[in-house]
Order: sequence, then structure tokens, then C-alpha cells
Amino acid sequence: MKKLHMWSGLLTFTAFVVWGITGIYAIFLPAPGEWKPPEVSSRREFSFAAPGNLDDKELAKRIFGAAELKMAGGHYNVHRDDDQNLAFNVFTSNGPRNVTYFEDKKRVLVEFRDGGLGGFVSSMHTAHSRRDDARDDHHVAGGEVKRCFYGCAIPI
Amino acid sequence: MFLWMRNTHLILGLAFFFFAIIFAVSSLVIIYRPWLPDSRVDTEQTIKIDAAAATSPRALALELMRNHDFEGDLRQVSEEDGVMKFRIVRPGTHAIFEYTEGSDAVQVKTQRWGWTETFVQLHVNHGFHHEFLPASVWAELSLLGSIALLLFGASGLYLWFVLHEERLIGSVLLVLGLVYGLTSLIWSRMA
Repeated sequence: MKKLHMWSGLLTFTAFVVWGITGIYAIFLPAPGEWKPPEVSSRREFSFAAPGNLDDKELAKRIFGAAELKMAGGHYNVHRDDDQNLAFNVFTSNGPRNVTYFEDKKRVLVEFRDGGLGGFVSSMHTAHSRRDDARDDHHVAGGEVKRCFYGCAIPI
Repeated sequence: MFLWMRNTHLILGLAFFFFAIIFAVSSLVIIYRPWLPDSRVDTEQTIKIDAAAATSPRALALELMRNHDFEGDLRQVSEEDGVMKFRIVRPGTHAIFEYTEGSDAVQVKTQRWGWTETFVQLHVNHGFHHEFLPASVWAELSLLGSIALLLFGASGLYLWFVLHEERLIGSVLLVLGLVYGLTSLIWSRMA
């Protein structure tokens, strides 16, 4: 038992450090409603011709697939912006990405908002293999998505 | 030094044991939520109030907290076209209010979750911004727990290191964990 205790502790030491740092970081996060996303760090555009007869949810899903964003934990907050362009947000451990589809130009704009190291470690501690399922099935049903520090997996 | 470190490791482990259990259980709930039954129960009611007390959403919320037993943090306040909306939330229970100016009644929808989802809400209850004292105390405990976790790890590392006969296998396990963890972190960050 003593060896098991020691060996499991050594094997999971890195996880303990990540959880400890995340817990300290989290206590200094702003209150709900006061969180501001990081500034836009870069932009990328690509062509996308949407097939007809798609509702916004399905269209967003297709664009999300076409965007091939790395470390993406899923897309959320599908809506129409002030100019009636389809827009949605994507969660990634490196920070949020805002995606806008300009239907008239058949172009997709992705704004990358890379977060700091603390936010990254915090996001990584939420990484789990069932994030998409958790979000789709329960997160949206459980509460409004106001911010997404926790991989959109938790009603806030 | 060894005794001091051993006692620190032991005391921190015991002090934050139940705390760690809550975080461990809630992490499992987050991961396997789709497999779990939805424990939320909603109830609706109408509460009579003195319209004079509803000068603002905050004033109305305070009135409801003082005289109608609602407890928690005030959240998601909005006021539009004479309709006030806000929530009073605490881990496990969210009360959603809607009030039309001049009326003497407030519509309330109360959402209550079971203990597993309450654990999840405790897991994410952080920050120094809480007005609800228990939420504030819990958040401060979370900070202490996080610091304790780092000290717990560091003291454990020391206790292993002084046991010379365990250094080889211990080093292999530690390096395995570090390589896996750091590779995942660096790879993800560079993506």
C-alpha cells in the first residue's frame, strides 16, 4: 500500500501541479458578466460555399468542420450578428475563436483570441475526451452560456 | 526535516481529504454527465411583494433575500421595458425572477439540482466577488486547497526522494508523468 501510494503520487505529480495552479488562477478570475475575452491576436479567412437548405445550427456545424481549428472543444452561441451574418464561438484551450460567415462573399472569417498561460493551463485542466457530448447534451440545457473557462462543460 | 515534511504531508492530506473527494467526484460528473440522469427539478411560484420595495433589481433582490428566504449571489441582472430579470444563485439552487414594474407579484422559477451537480457547482464556485458568505468562504477554501495541493505534491516528492531504495522506480514514474503531462501541455500550446 505504501508503494502504491508513492508510485501513484509520483506518476500523477504533474496533474497535481496543474490542478494547484488552476485553483489559484481561478480564484482571481473576474466575476460572471465581467469577463472579457482576450484581444484578437490574428485572423484567418477562407472560402466556403454553403449547401442550400441548411438551418443556422447545421450551417455552423459545417463551417466549424471546414475551419479545422486546432484543439477545438466544440462550437457554441450560434447566432446572427448585427449585419445578419451567421456567427459563433469556438472553444479551444489556447483561447476563444470567433467565427463569422459572410454569406454574400462566401467567405469565413476566424478571429483568434489567444489567451495567456494561466488561461491555457486552466483550460487544459478541463480537457476530457467527452467534452463535446457533455456540452451538446447537458450544458446548453443546464444554463445559459455566458463564458467558457471550463470547456463549456459546466452550467455557469 | 523528514518528520516536519511527513507531518505536513499527512496533515494536508487529512485536512483536504473531503475537499479533494468533492473535486474528484465532480470531475467525473463533468466527464460522464451524458450518462447520468438529469437531476434538476424546477418549481414555479408567485410571491407577493410591496411594489415600493422594487425600485431596482438589486433592491428587489435584497427584499426577497431578507423577507422571503432566498439566499445566494445576485446574477444576470437585466432591466428592459419595465421588466426586471435576475437570478439569486448558490451551488445547487438557482432562483430565476421576473418582475414587471408596478406589480405586487414576482414570478419565480427555482431550479434545484441533486448532490452530484451541486458538487460540480461547488467545483466552479471561485473568486473573491461573492456576496453570499458561504460561497465566499468556499472560494477561499478552494484557494487554500489549491495551495495545499502544491505543498502536498512538493512534500510528497521530498519524502520519496529521501528513500534511497525507491529512487530508480520513482524517477521512472515521475519522468513518465512529467513527459506525458509536459508534452501534452507544450504540444497543445503550440497547436
